[in-house]
Amino acid sequence: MGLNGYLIVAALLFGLGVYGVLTRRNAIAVLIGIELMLNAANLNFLAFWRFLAPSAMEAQVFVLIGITVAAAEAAVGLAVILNVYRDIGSIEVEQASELRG
Amino acid sequence: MNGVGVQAAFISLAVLTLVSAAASVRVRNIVHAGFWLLPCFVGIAGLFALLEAHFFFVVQLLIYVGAILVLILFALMLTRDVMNPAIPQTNRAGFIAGVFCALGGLFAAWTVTRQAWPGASAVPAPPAEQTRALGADLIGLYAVPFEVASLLLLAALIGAIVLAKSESPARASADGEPRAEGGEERPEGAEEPRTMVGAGR
Amino acid sequence: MEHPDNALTWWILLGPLAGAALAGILALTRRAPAAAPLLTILGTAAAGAVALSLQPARNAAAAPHADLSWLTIPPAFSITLGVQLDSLAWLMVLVVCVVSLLVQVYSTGYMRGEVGYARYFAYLGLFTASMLGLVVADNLFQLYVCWELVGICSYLLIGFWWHKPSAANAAKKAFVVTRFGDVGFLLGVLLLASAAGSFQFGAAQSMFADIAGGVPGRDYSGFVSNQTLVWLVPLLLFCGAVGKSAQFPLHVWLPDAMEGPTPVSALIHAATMVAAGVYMVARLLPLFAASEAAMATVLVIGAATALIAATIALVQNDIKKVMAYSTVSQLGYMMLGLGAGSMAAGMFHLTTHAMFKALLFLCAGSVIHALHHAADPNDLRGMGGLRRSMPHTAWTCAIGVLALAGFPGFSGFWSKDSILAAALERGSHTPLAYAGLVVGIAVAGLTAFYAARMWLLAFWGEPRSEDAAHAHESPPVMTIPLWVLAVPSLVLGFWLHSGHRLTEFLLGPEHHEAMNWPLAIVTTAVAAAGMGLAAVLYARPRLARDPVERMPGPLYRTFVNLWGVDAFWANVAARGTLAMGGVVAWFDRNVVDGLMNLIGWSFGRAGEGIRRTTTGQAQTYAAVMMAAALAVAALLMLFQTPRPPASVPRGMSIQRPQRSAAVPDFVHVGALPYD
Repeated sequence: MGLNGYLIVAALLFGLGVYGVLTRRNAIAVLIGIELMLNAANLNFLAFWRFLAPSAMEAQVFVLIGITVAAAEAAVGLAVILNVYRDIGSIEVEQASELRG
Repeated sequence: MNGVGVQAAFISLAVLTLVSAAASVRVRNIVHAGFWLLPCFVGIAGLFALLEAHFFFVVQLLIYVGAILVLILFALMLTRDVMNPAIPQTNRAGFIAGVFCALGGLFAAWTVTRQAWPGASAVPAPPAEQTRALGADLIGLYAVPFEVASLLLLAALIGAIVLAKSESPARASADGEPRAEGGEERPEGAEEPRTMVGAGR
Repeated sequence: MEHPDNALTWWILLGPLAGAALAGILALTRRAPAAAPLLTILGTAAAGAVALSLQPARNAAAAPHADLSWLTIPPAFSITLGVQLDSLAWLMVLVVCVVSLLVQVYSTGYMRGEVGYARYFAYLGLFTASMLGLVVADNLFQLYVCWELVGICSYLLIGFWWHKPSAANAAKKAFVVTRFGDVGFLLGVLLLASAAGSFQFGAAQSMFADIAGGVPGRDYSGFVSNQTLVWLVPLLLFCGAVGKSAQFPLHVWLPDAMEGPTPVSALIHAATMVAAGVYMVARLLPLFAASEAAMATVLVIGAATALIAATIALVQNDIKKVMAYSTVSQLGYMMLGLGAGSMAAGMFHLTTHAMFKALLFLCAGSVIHALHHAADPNDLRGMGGLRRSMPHTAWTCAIGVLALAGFPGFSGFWSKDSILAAALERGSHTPLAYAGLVVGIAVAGLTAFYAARMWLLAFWGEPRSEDAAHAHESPPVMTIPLWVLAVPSLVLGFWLHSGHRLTEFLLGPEHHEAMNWPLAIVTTAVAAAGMGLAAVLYARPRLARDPVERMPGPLYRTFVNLWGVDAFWANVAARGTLAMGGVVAWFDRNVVDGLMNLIGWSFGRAGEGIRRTTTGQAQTYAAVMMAAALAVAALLMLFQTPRPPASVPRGMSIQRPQRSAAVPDFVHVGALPYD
C-alpha cells in the first residue's frame, strides 16, 4: 500500500481518538482516547521515516520520547482524576464545571 | 516489500487496529473499552513491524500493552462502581462530534494522500543495526532530549505519588468531604459514589 | 440742520433704557421701589426732549442719525444699529414718548401698593426703549429685533400678575400668536435682505424701484423671480403686521391681553405696540404699492378686521374688552387707509387714535380702580351713575368717546375721514376700495353705538351696585393725565389737518389732501345715528335688560362667540400642535429611544450568547481547539503554493563525521568512545 496506506490508517485512528476525547463521559475513557491519538502520531512518524528517510534515526528518537511522554502523561492523568474525584465526588467529566460562566 | 503477503498483512492489521479503536471509544462498559485497547495496540505493534521499525514493535508491546494498558485497566477496575451505569457513556455532543471527527479524519486522510511525497531509494537497516544506531544517537547526539525525558519520568513519578497520596487523618476530618457547597447539584440519577481506594475518607 | 450725524440722538434709546436698567436693579434688590418710576419717567422725558430739540427731515440722508456698525461681512454686507430721525420716525417718537410718559405718571397712582412696583416700571421702561428702537430703525434687522423685544415686554406686562392663571395664559397666548405671524415676517425680512443685499430700507426701496422700472436683467433673489418677489415680500411682511397689530385672523390675543394692568393696556395694546405693524406697513408702503395683490390684501384684511371687531364690541360687558375690540377695529381702519394707498391717512389715524384710545383706557382704569372692591370691577352691568361721583373721569371719557366715534370737530373725525376719502379715491383704481369704503362707513356707525353704550352704561343713570354707589374719584396723579390726553383728543385732529400740516410733514410740500365734505357729512350722519340709538336705548334711569340682547339670535350668538375665531385657533393650532407633538413623541420614544434600547439589548443578548461558550467543560474547550486547529490546517492547505517536491537530504542536515564513503550511509561511524 505504501506510504498512503499508513497515513490513512493513522488519520482514521487519530479521528477515533478525537471522538473519544470529545464524547466520552468517563474521565478514564477520555484518557483512552488520548492514548489512541498518541499512537496515531507515532504511526505517522514511523511511516514517514520508513518511506522518506529510512537512514535518519531522528524519527525514532522522536517516537521513543513520544512513547515516554505518553506513559508519563497516563500516570499523572490518572492521579489528577483521583484528586478531582476527591473534590467533586465523581469521575464524570461533565461534573468538573466550576468555571462555568 | 510489496508482495501480496505484505499487503494482506497490512490490511488485516489495519482493520484490526481500527475496529478495536472504534470499539474502544464506543462500548458502554468501560472495562470492555479498556480491554478493546489490547488488540488495538497489538495491531499497531504489527504495523510497526511491517514498517521495519523492529525496535518499536517490541517497545510498543512492552510499554503500551504491558504498562499503559495495565495502568488503565487498574484504574478502570478501581473505579468500576463509581459512575452510575444507567446514564449513557456518550455525552450530548456525541452525534455532532462523530460527524465532525469523521469529516476531520477523512479530510486529513485525503490531504496527506494528495501530496506528492518524494520517494526514498534507501532501505532500512537490519534490526540490530537500527537499534545500535538509535542507541548511539540517544547517548551521543540526542543525549539532552534523552536526559530530559528521564527527568520527565521522574517528575511524573513523584508527581503522581504526591497527587494520589491519601491525606493525613488530621486534615481529612477538616475538609476530607468532597466539596459540594455553592449549589453544585449532583447529576440526576447519580447515586452516592462508593469510595475509591486511597480516597482518604 | 444740514449735517445729520448727531450723537445726541442716542439718548432717545439710552434714556429709557438706562431708566429701565436702574429700575430693574431696584426691583431685584428690593430697595426704594418708590424711586423706580422717577428713573423711568426721567429717561422717557429725556428721549422726548432730545427728539423735540432736533429737526427731522423728510428724506433719510438729511435726517439726524447715529449709527453703530454691529456686524460686517466683507466685501459689502453690514448690519448697523442706530437711530434715524426722519419725519415718520420723529412723529412716532413723539407719540410714544408722550403716551408713555403719561401712562407712567398715571401708574404711580394706579399701581400704588402693588407687589412688584419697581418691576412694573422697569418693564415699562424697557418697553419704551424697545418701541423707540423700533421706530427709529433704518434697517429691517433692527426693526425685527425691536419688534420681538416689544413682544417680550408685552408678555412680561400682560403676565405681570403671573400668579393669576388667566393672566399667565393670556401672556402666553399673546406671545405665541404674534410669534406665529412673525414667522412670515422673518421670512419676508430674510428674503428681502438676501435679494437687496442689505437690511437697509433704502436698499429695499431702490431695488423695488429698479424692478418696477424694468431695469435689471437678472433676478435679485436666488429663490424667486423678480415678479414673485414683488408680491411675496410685502405679503410675508404683512404677516407680521397681522400678528402684531391684531388684524383678523390673528386678533385673538388682544382681548385676552386685557388681563394685564390697565395702564399697560393703554400704552401697549392701544397706542404703541399694536401700532408697530401699522408703522411698518407705512414705512414700507412703496414696497406694498408695487404689487396690486399686496395692497388689496391689506385693504381687505383691514376692512374685515374693522367690521368683525366692531360687531363683537357691541355685545361685550367688560369695559376693557369693549375697548380692546375697539382697538382691533380701529387698527383695521388704519390698515384700510394704508391699503388705499395713503400713508398719511393711516399715520394720521394712528396718531389721533393713540391719544384718544389711551385716554379711554386710562379712564377705564380709573373706574376699575374706584370699583376695585367689587367682585368684577370691569363689568359694565355693575356700574352706572358714576358721572356724579367721578366727574373728571366721566367728562374726559366723554371727550374720548366723541373722538372715537368721529364726532365733528374732535380728532377722530378728521382722521377717519381722511381714511375714507383715501378709500373713495382709490376706488377709481380698484373697485375693492369701494367695498372698503362702505364697510368703513358702517363701522363708523357701529363704533359710535358701542362707544356711546359703554359711556352710558358706566356713567349715566343710577348706580347698579353697591360698589358703584360708593365709588369716588381717583387721585390727581391719575386724573391729570386724563385731562392732558383729552386736549389732543379734542384738537390734535384739527391741528394736524389744517394747512395740510401732517401730509406736508410726512410726504412733502406738494402733497395735499382736500377734505371731502360730502363724505364727511355722510359719515357724521351715520355716527350721529349710532349715538342717537344708543342714547335712546341706554339713557334711562333704570335698565332691565341690556338692549343689545334683543338683536336677532343668530347674530347675537355669532358676536358673543367671537365669530368662532378663538375656537378655531384653539382647535387647529393648539390641538394640531399637540397631535403633531404626539407623533413626534411617539417617534422619539419608539424609534430614537428604541434604537438606543436596541443597541443596549443586543449587546446584552450578545453577551449572554458569548457567556454560554464558557461551559466549564474541558471537552467543550477541547472541541473548540480541535476545530480551530482543523480550520487553520485547512486554510494552510488550501492556500499553500505547491512546492516542488524536494529530495529529503540524507541524514538530515546535521554534520556527521564520516569515515569513508564506502560505508553504508545509515551506519554511523563516529569518534565515539565505545565504537
